[in-house]
Amino acid sequence: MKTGDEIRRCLLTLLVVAALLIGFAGASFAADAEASDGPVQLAQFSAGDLSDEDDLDDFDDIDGEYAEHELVADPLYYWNRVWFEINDALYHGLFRPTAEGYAWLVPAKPRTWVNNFFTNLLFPVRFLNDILTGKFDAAYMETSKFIANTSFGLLGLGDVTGGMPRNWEPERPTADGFGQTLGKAGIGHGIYLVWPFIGPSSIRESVGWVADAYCDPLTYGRFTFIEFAAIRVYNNLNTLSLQLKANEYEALTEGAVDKYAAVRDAYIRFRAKKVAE
Amino acid sequence: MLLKKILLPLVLICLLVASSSVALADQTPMDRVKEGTEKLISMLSDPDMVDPDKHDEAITRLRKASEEYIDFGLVTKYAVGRPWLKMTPKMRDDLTEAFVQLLERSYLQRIPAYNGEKVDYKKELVSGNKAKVFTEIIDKDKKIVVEFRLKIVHGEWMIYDVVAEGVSLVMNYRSQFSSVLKEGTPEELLKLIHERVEKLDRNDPDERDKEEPAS
Repeated sequence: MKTGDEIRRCLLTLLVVAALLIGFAGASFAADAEASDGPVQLAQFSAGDLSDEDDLDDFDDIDGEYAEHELVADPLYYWNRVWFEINDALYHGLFRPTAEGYAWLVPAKPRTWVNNFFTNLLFPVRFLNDILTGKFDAAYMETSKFIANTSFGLLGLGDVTGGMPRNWEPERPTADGFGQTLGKAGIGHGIYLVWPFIGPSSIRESVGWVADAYCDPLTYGRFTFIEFAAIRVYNNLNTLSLQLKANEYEALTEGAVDKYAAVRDAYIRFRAKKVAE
Repeated sequence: MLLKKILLPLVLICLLVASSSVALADQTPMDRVKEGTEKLISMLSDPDMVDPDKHDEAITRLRKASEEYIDFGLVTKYAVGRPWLKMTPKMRDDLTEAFVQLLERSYLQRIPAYNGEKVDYKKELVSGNKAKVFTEIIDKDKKIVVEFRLKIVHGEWMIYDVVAEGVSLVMNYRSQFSSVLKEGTPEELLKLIHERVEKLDRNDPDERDKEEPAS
C-alpha cells in the first residue's frame, strides 16, 4: 500500500513537471501544436488528470450523489444507545446461541417449512400494502402464491411457487408493512427509536407495526398474551436459525468502529430504499 | 544541457502513461466492474481459497486483486469526510492502511465460497469522471441490488463505494467516523480502528462459522 502510494506520488510529480513543460512548450509553439493533435491531446489529458488530483475537496460533488438518502433525528440518543447495547449483548449472549442450538437440533428443512408457514400467514399485510401503494401486479402475484401455497403447499408449509420464473417487481417481500406505505405517502421517520428486545425502528415504522398487527391473522387467534409472545419469539428464533451464516447484522457490526451508528445508518438507508422501490 | 537530458525521458514517460491511461479509460465503467467481479469469482471458485492452510496466502491474493479495482485511498477519504482535508499526509496513509485492514478482516477473513451466485449487470450512468454501475446478485431465490460507484483515477475507472440494498459502505463508515471525529482527534479514530482490527484478529474466524449448512 505504502509503496503503491509512493509510486503514485512519484508518478504524479513526474506528471506535474511533464505537464508544465509540455504546457510551456505548447504555449511557445502554438502554431505547431495545432498541426499535430498528439501532444495537445496529451497535454489536455494530463491537465485533466491533474486537476482531478488537485481537487482534493470534492466532497460537495461526491456527497451530492447521496442526497437522495434522508437522515434521521436521534433526540433519544441515550435511551436508544442503552437499549442498543442491551439488545446487542442479548443477541450475542442469548439469541444467537439459542438459535445455534435449535439449528443443531432441528434440520434445515423443517425450519424452512416453519418459515414458509409464517411468511404465508402474513399474506394480508403484503396484499393490503401492495394495493395501498398501487403495486397491483405484486398483489396479484401474492394472492396466487397464497392460494397455491395454502392448498398445495399444505397450509403454507411448502413454497410450491418458489422455483417458478419470476416476472414481478419488486422481489419478495413485495411490500413489507404499513411503515413502507406511510413512507411512500411522504411521511418521514419522525425520530429514530430502538425498542427493547426488538431493535431499530422509528415513529413511522412503529406505527406501521401496529397497523400490520391488525392484518396479522395471529392477532385474531385465541391466544393468551404469553402464548402470543411465545409464538412471536419462536418465529424470530426460527428465522434467525436460517440466517446464522452470512448474517447481515454481524457483517455490519463486526467491522464497525461504532456499532450503534453503523446500525442506525444501515437501518435508515435500507428503509429509504424500500420506500423508493 | 541538463534540461534536455531530463526532458526526453520525461516526455517519453508522460507519453507512455498518457497513452496507457487513454487506452484503459476506453473501458466502460461497467466493463471494469465486470472484469473485477469475474476475476474475483474465478478466484473464489478455486478450492485453494477455502483451504485453511492456505488462508493467509488467499487473503493476500484477494487483497491484491481488489486493489486493482478499488481505490482504497478514495474509499477512506470519502468515509472520513471533510476532516480529511485537515489531516497530514501521514495520517491519511495510516488511516487508509488501517481501514483496509479493517475491511479485509470483516469482509475477506471469512472467505465466502462461491455458490454459483449470478451477477446481472443492469446499467451504468456516467457523468464526467464519475460513474455508477447497477448490478443484481441473484442467489437462488434472493436478489440483492448492488450499486458500484466509480471515479477516474489516473485514467482508469476505480471503485470507491459499494451500495448494497441502499446501504453505502462509505456513508455507513462516514456516520461512524464522524461521531468519533466530532469529539475526538484523528489519532483517536486511528486507535479505534486498530483496536477493532486486533479484536477481529483474536476471534478465530474458523470457529464461528462451521454450523449450519446452507439451507
